[in-house]
Amino acid sequence: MLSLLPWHLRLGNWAAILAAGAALAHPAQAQDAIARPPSPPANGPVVVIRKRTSSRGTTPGRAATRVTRADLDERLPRSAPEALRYEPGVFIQQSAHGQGSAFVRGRTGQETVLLFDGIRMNTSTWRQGPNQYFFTVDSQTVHSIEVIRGGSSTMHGSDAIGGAIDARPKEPALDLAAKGPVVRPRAIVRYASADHEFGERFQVDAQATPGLRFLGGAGYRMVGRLESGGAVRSPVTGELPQVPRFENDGRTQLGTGYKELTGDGRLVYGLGPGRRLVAAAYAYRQFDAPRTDQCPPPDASSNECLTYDEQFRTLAYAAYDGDLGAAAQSARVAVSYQRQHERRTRSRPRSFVNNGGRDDVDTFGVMMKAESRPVPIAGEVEAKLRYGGDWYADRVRSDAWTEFTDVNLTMRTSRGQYLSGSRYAQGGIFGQIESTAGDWLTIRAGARGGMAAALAPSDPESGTSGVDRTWRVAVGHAGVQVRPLAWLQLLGDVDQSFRAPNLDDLTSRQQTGPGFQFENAALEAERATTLDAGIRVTSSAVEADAWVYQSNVSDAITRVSRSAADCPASTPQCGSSWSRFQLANVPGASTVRGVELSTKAWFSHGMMARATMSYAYGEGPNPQARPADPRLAYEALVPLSRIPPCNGTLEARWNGPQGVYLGGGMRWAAAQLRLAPSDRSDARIPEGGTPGFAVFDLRGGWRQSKSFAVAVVMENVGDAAYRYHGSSVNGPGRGISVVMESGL
Amino acid sequence: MNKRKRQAIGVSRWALAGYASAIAMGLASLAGCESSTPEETAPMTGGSGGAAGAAGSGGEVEDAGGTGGTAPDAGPDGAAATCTDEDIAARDNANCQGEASDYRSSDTANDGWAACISDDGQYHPFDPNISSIPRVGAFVQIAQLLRFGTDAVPTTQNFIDARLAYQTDQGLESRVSRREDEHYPKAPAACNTLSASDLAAYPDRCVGPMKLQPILNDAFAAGITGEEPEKNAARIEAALLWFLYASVYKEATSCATTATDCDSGYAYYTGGEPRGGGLGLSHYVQIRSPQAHDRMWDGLLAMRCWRDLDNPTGAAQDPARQNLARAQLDRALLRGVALIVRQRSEKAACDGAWEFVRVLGPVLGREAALRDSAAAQVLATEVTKANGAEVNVDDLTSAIDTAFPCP
Repeated sequence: MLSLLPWHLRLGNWAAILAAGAALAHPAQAQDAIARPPSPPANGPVVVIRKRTSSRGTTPGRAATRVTRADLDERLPRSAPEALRYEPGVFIQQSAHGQGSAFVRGRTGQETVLLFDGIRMNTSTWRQGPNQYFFTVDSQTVHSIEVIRGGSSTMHGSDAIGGAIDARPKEPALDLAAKGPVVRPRAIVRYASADHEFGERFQVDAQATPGLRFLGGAGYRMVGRLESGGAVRSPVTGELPQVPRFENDGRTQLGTGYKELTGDGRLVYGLGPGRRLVAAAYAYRQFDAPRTDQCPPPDASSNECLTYDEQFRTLAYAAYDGDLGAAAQSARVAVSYQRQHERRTRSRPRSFVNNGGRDDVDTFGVMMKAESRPVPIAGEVEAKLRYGGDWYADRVRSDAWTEFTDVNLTMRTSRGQYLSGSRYAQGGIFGQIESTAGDWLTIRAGARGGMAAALAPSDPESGTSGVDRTWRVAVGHAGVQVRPLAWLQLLGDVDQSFRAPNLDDLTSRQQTGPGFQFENAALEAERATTLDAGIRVTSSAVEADAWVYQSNVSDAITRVSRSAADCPASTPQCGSSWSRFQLANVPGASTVRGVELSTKAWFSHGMMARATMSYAYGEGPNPQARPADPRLAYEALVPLSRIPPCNGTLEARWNGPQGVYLGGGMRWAAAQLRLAPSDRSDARIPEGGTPGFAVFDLRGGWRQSKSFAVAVVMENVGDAAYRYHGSSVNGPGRGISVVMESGL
Repeated sequence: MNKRKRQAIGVSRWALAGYASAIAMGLASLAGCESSTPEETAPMTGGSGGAAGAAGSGGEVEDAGGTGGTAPDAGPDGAAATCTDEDIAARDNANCQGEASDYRSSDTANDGWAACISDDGQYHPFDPNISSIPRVGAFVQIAQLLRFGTDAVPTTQNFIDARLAYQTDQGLESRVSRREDEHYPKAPAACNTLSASDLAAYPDRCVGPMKLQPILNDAFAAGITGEEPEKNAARIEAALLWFLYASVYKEATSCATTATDCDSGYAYYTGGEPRGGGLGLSHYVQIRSPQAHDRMWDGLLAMRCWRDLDNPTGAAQDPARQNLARAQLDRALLRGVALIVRQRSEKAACDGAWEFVRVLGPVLGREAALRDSAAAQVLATEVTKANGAEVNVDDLTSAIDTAFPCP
């Protein structure tokens, strides 16, 4: 695919880019687009000292953290999901090198909401379990990523059971001192040794006037096979798992590597103080990304492979941000269009067979949210209202075909993974009142009325029934925040959330990690109640958060084993699979309870340290019926699928003179031996569970004002062989990542 | 405006063109580069076999009607011999008594085996969901499409539909491509992990990728392009029966570590049907020798009995008992396969039948060499002849009877 785009190859070498960067570099006034103050300082080199930035999120009263651009620039994650590796309560699973899915409080995929600049990314074809879609956010376009842990359907609608992740984009810089047009180009070059990744991004930050600004960029990455620290063995048997397979060196993983193109543009037009219009478009194009656990599939020949030939996402939106009067002091109104395109091929060259599939989802969205001015109630008590609504409508096209390459023959099947012509819509209206008494007490309460509707045609040839369903849901939320001491806050929160079944649940047929999954058009919405309690300590030198929570999901939509006799008609691959599943609402409560700790401390001489720890325990009703034979073992409660093990992080950094910094990070996870029934047939999980690990990274860098910067990470210094639970891919072995930036 | 600011703006004007063009190119390339969904294509036909029917033209087979030149000459009695399986006569051998160590479902009290789950004569699967049953179902579907054992000439569309059935996800192709013949010593690693060059060193062990897959690939492709439809249908039939034969033995071996593999072995032979029925390989054996079929069933029950007696919830620990069961099973299997080859050998004048023998006949060579070298030599000589008219059918069938007299 990328061979069609030779331009990048001509540009793709270090020398050319560095020469360009050097030629364009200019000392002094250039400032980072994000942290730039309105007015640059006077002449002379700027010594950039990283401020004491909080890692807490901005969502009031909630367990939330935020990854900043500065964090990303130092940690050098390979992707947007990987950028969340140091966040408490978040665990990143990867089914492929070019994919990644964030588990938030043990839930992922359809049970979390992903947002980009507040625009919903979730579509109706997101599947049960991990998915690849957050990977389609170009981390180079991101200013910060906020993770809200715990249910948040009141604000974000369906799917927000485990939490919400909001990637906030970079903004064009505002230079009030400029007397005329300003254009600041920037080049960013990235290399990582473990997968021979090489990428570049070209960015232009332009200001015609302070009221009209533009930030745009284009980039690419070529990523090779990922070398790990070696094989990760079963903690029970010591055997090698079937996934992944390695090259002869025993370290380099088959089914890894991909290519990537990105492009973005963001135009901001100021309408006056605090008001603006934004028009933005973000395009992500990933090519030739094998799914590691299917490349090759377990037991299959080494040259079989499922590859995502194209994993594209395009998001375009226009938004108004600003004051709409007393009732909407801070408002946002946005209309959006998102296209999710995916084309995959399962190739079996020894049999001259390719099985292809293509799924496109076009989503049209509109959202509005606002916050009123505080209204005095009595004394020091005042209240304000947050309210809004959203509506997202999907249109789905899905095709599948088989090619016999030796005779150049292509045959289409009657249906794809989904049913072409399917439609899905979901949205609702919400309101939340926040009342404060001085600075010691805040109480919040809100509710949402939500609706989802699915419409899918039938396909008699494949024995697929049509779907015409509607779900109406009302949920609520209440929280309290008490500040008994200036440095201490106590927080409590109860939240109701929900997930309406989507088109994947209702209509899809597909091979998943644990086995073949077929549709269930009779599903009902699952509902969750989450209880949170937290303590926050804040001082000039320390911020610390501790949260405990319990999330009960009733009528949980869960994979239930089915017999071959249950398989739909005309689907022989169902019966031929070792395991078969159908999604079903499981009676009773599926519970995740856990603890999350995080602390960040600043010391003298530019030292900073941060530590996090998360523990989750998931348990739910056994989705399988009790066997008739009483001699057979049966557990009424079983672990939930892919619940992360106890895990945590430790980071330290020293800010030196002249923009130099040094630091390090450690990520660790205990073994996870508690497996759900479906986990036991999942080749991504070694027999008996996933062993624990500890991985150390060293970091260093130098930022010579904003015109030139270099950041280096030596990752996995101990060359540990490790795997995040549920992943197909082992983590990178010892290697180095380097990013160089040059610009104005 | 200070000097540096002016420089920044000045430089940026020059830089603007380069960066803007880079961004423009990037955005332009991103705008419309989704690959289209491929359109259906028609096969390139052009062989000599008289097949017809482009893709989508329907799945009707053609009656050969003698036009394909495939019907053999008149037999000694003056009647035209048929190329179909309609005239099969069962060939049981009353002199066969079985081995003393055999499991006998008809006499479980005296067969030397401890009482076990198989003693009621039924196969009791470990798991009622047996994934190999749909694969046998695919074999039956292919047999119907390509009219195995008949004189009908399959069309191009028949071959396309058959290949679609063959390549179904987790279907026959998925197992053919990885099948190992447990009769041969192991390769240094599982065949599915070996490179093409390494595979070439183990053609017998890695029978799926090295022998079966090339035969099936070539036959399907040739059939789709209209070349020698009868011969290619016969090649497919023989290769798939070879696969079923190898699979039964393979599953009986791996059942030692994975108990449900016994179920798969049972289903590869029976298609999941009871003793009196049978799909796929069991149907072929049953109509040629009820005796062999009966012994085959006892072999399957022996396998299940062994596993019932040998730590059924974990790894087996009694290899001697496994070997007894497996040997009994293999003896019956080989007799069954030998009778299939024998019956088709009698129709060597039929192109399709002889093509079948040329594929499946060599499977018997390994065991024949162990039992009777002279018979093995005759077998090897005859089944490698390219032309059925050159075959000494009497010598060949006699050699088969000598090497494989009993189930």
